[in-house]
Amino acid sequence: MNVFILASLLGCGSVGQDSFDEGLSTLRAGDFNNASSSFSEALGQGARDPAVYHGLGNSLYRLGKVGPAMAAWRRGLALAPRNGDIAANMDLARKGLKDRLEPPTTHRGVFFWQSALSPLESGIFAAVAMALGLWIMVVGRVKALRRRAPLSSAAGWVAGVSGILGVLVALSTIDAVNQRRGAVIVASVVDVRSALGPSGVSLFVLHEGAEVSIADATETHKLIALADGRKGWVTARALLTTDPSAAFVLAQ
Amino acid sequence: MVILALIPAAFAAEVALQIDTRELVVGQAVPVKLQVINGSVSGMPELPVGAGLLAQYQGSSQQHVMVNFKSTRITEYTYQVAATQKGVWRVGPVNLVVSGERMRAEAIEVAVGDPPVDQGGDPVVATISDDRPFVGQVVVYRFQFKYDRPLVNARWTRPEFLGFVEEVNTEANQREFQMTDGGRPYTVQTIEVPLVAAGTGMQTISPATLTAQFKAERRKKRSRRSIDDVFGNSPFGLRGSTETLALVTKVVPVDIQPLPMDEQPADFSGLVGQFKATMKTGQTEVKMGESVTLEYTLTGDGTLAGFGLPKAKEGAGFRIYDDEPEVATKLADGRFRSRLTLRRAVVPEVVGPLTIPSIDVITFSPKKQTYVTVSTRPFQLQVAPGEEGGGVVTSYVDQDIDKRTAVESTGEDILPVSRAGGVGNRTVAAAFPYMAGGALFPGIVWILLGFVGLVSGRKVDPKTALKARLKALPADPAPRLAALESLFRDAAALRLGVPAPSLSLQQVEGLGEDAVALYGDLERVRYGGGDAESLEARVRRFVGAS
Repeated sequence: MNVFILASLLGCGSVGQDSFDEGLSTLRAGDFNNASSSFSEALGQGARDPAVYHGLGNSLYRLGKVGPAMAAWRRGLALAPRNGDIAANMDLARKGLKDRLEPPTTHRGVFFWQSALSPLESGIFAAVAMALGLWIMVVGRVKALRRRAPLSSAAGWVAGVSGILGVLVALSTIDAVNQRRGAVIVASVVDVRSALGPSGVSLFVLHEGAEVSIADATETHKLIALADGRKGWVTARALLTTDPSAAFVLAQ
Repeated sequence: MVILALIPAAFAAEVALQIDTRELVVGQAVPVKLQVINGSVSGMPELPVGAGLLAQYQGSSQQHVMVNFKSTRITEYTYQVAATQKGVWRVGPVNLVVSGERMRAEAIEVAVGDPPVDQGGDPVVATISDDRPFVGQVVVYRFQFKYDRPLVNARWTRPEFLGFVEEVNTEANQREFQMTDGGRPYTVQTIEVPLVAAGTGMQTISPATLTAQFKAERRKKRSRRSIDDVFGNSPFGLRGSTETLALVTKVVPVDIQPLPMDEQPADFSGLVGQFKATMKTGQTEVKMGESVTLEYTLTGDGTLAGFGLPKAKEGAGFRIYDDEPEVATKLADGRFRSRLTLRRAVVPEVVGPLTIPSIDVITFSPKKQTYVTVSTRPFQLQVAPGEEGGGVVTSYVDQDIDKRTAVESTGEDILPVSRAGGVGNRTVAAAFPYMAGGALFPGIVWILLGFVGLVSGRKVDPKTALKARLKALPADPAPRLAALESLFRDAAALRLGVPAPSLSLQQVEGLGEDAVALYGDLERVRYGGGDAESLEARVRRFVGAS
């Protein structure tokens, strides 16, 4: 909660609140079509919030659109990795899928703290740590200009450790943001091919709701990777990205 | 090899029949050898053969072999056996009196098949066993190569089997026959490939190509040299010349017919061909808690790839456990044969008479052009009460195995949105300008302060500048004196903290008597009085003291 307050101070203030509230009320009333429209509207207004993605995922799941629901939940979980409700919903939905796949990783193993931190939280932490280190250095420089006693070695250590920690967490934040840019299959069945064009042969078939990583992309196709290392090209229309910053557009 | 095989029996009289192949075709002749080991036979032994075979005595030979310092004598009688009629025939048995003792060489069974197709003058020909097969039916593609010249090498290029897939369990079969035609010997090589019809409609099998390398016939006679005895047949290719021919068959058209779909039963097994099924067991009684093993065998001329036995129905008074089925295939004499063997353990669950029902497999018969159910006979089993505890299998093997399983969510329904508070943009992209600004602002301040320090550090120290000017005084007396006066005024002004141009005598008095005296002397020298050289030393001291 404190982070959200801090985030609000950092310009992530309330947007799309009315649409979100309307989506919640229609979802509770069982009007799933209108609920998904309201949540999509809130997203369109800039409310890239885990609660909005949670509500959108729930309404899409109720409408039988498992693939888009998985994509919405993954986006919500990318923004709030400690949200157990979204994780439980995804766990339930995965049991009904045709493809038993390991979900893609959300961060590299070396950045273990990202399993519990959202990119926003770790980004704020990195900014604060780097700022602390730099402010201590500023104080030291001011003292030097005024020909006063230099900073103590303890202050120097604090500045150094803060700076290094800040850079490390910033790197882990960039990694987490990139790693969470996966995708979910939204077509009922999709052929994964070895190459673009007629020379590609069918490698395997994926079904709706399968979670994949994106290794490369063209305008029309994406190179997907499974957790077991298999790769192949899929038409971009069959995928919905799990990047929370991207537009949530369902193919007609 | 023969010698090694005979070593165990090297010291006892023995007789045996040997034949190179047990599969012949009509018109083919093979040598058969009757071996008599460590014994002697009077006269020429007779070799009885079946009605479809002809045997002709060729001669005998003897050899001695030393085994463990003991001599073994082998007498070999050779016969030429020719196949004249299709069927399975016996060669032997041969009853002999060897060194006064009655002995018997057991008979050998030989299968005689159809001869190679008459290919007339064509050196190569391609045929297929059925040119109007049904989808799923196995047909045999046969390539035949006939030659009567010494062959050095032959390479066969496989045709393209459009509309067919090769039978997965069987490899192509290659055979060679030594035949005679009007007393002239010739050789026929055949390659047979089992194919499963896959496409429908008119299909063509492309021509097969054979590149054959024959030993060239010498036209000119020349004197035979001793080297020809060694390399006469050119085993190393050093002296012989060869002739290479590329031989091509005609295309083979095949019309593949679809299976009749209208009458196809729902539980059609997918098998196409003539099949026969049997089920057998060694016992008819079993105790409760024990099992009976049934052996199910399905034989036929169709492919068994992908075939699975129908599952037994539950609740029939017994449980069944199937082994992995064993599939064996054979390609001989242009015919494909397949055999599936499955062992099924039946565990009765009730005491008394038990009927194991028949196993029904629905196949399609190309011969009858209809669907045929291949059934086994039901099997009666008498189940006796078991001993106390019978049927309860106690095992302690897995006692130390961790039987815990992963906690699974009951997953009754998805969880609702629990937070109803304010929503906003929680992405890094939205907060990035603020985060970057907050982190970089002190960095910018730090850099600016660095510039400030750098700039302030570059101001020239006035005392250092005065000393530098002292070192660079002009050489001419008048400018040198002016420079000394300027230096004195700047040094005094620096000491007093006042601007040099406005320096007055009253102000200099604040610096002491020596400074006042120097000030006066400098004034005097400017107007032509006093000693300029002593003044320079005094000005140097004054500036240095500054």
